[in-house]
Amino acid sequence: MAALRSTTLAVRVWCALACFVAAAGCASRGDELVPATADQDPRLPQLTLEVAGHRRALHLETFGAPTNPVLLVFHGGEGSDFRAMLPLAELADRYFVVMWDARGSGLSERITAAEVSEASYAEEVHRVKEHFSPGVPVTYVGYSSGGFHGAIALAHHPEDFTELVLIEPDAFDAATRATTALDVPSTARWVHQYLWQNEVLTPDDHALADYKLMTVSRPALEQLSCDPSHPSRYPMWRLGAMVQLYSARTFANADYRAAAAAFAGRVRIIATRCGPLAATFQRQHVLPLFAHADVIELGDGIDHLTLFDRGRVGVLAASRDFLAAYGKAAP
Amino acid sequence: MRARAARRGTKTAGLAVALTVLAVLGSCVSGGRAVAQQTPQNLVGVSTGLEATPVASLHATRRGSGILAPQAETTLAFTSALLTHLGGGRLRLERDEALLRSSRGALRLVLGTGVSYATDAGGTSVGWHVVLGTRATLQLGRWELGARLAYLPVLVGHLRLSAFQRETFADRYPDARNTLGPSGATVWLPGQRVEALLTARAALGAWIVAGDAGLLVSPAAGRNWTSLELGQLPLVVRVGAGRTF
Repeated sequence: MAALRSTTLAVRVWCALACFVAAAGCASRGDELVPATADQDPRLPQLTLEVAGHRRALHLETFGAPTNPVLLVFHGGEGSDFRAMLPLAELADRYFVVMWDARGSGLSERITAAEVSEASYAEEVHRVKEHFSPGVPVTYVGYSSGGFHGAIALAHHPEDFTELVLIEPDAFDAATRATTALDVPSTARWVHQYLWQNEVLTPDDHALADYKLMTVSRPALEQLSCDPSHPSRYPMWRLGAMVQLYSARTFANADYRAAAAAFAGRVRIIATRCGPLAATFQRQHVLPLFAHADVIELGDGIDHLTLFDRGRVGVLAASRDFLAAYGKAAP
Repeated sequence: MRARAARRGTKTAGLAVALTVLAVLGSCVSGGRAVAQQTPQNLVGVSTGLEATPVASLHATRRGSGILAPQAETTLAFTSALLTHLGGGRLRLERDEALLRSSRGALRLVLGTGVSYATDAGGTSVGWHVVLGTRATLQLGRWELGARLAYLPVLVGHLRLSAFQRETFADRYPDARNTLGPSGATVWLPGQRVEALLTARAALGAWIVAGDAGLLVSPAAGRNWTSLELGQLPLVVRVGAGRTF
């Protein structure tokens, strides 16, 4: 009888729990932990485009007069956003500056794994460009992995671009990119805090996964600080966890160096003096790829995370000293 | 009524048996004195190991007659995640009742509840979880071998967001750049895990040594249940020792 009582109780407990799990599972979980995306929040500046067969809301902001030549800004960090690059809005004195978060990244609408592909990324950049500058090539500014995405765009639509500003771009081939990947130190406190976080939060849905990844992004990125005693901060809205996972898999063997080599336009590379993507790296791995490129090295005290903060003046000066709309076009 | 209850009980007991692979092993191996027979009452012990991250636990177990079954164990355990620098821990109370018993083994029902806390760059979080599972054991001489399968949902969690996390909500609106995020949030069912362990315990006089190994996975993480990027390292390995009283 005791066994019967216990099994009956067990069934009741299981049923109650199943009801709770079903109810909680139907509700959206973790949405309060990360900012809403463009499809969820109509207050966000946005543009809806069809890419890879899906209409997706891109978080997108423009600056300057639409009559100016168009300058596209592509953010760094797979899954990240353009927040850190907002200071480049100052280029709106001569350009119509367009900044957006890639599909599934930042505050743009989340996407499925099937939408993460080389073709879809190239299509996205092309459609944004065509929306603002139909049939007329534009200037492209890419930061960190935004440089890599620029190379993807070049591989598919080289006619879309007249000039490039690459701000500490990552390498254009997977093998070299692997050498610049962030470490996961096995004894670091933040690593173990992240692992233990599963006691409370597991990545059951997009919002929870994004929240988890955001919490670990700050200490992980701080490794890029040039002065470890004063770690640099990199402002972000959201890291799209699924995009980060799937893009790493999608581009695990990618190589766009040939697309870079085929680009006939002018390229300016802006880099710092420290960190894995510093000027030394750029001269070795990126500069030789282009026919018409130079490297501008910024002063001390700036690292990969503070290019648009402490390095804002230098980045803007190096850009204005190069861009066509400032009268710097090559003869 | 009694017959219906009996049928229902038999059916659910059958389902419970089906939950674990080792549930049928208890009847086919000859054994010596069981761990339980050698440890009639209480146990106080320590253990250490890996639950994705290094942990150390203190636990106290009281043996006795169960409320639902003749033999039961009640365990209170505190576990600390060592390399979080005391930023992570868990207090859990578990009740382990023998549902089916033979001279060489048993199938047990495991019910438990507890509170976990964690600290990270996102802030501090506290979650209330429950444990629902089964444990099958087999006596082999002084050894007790077993398997444990349990579902561990976190029913509700509360998070106090750090300044860093709140600041991720700023700069979104061109007309209101300084909008900050919430200082905290309560999330229903923020976590779900399944634990599948192989266990071993041996009695050495008044002492007990034990070891567990297995998986602690988040099934809802889909194909990413081993993704380190998402903090998924689903390994559990523990060793411990205890003194009976």
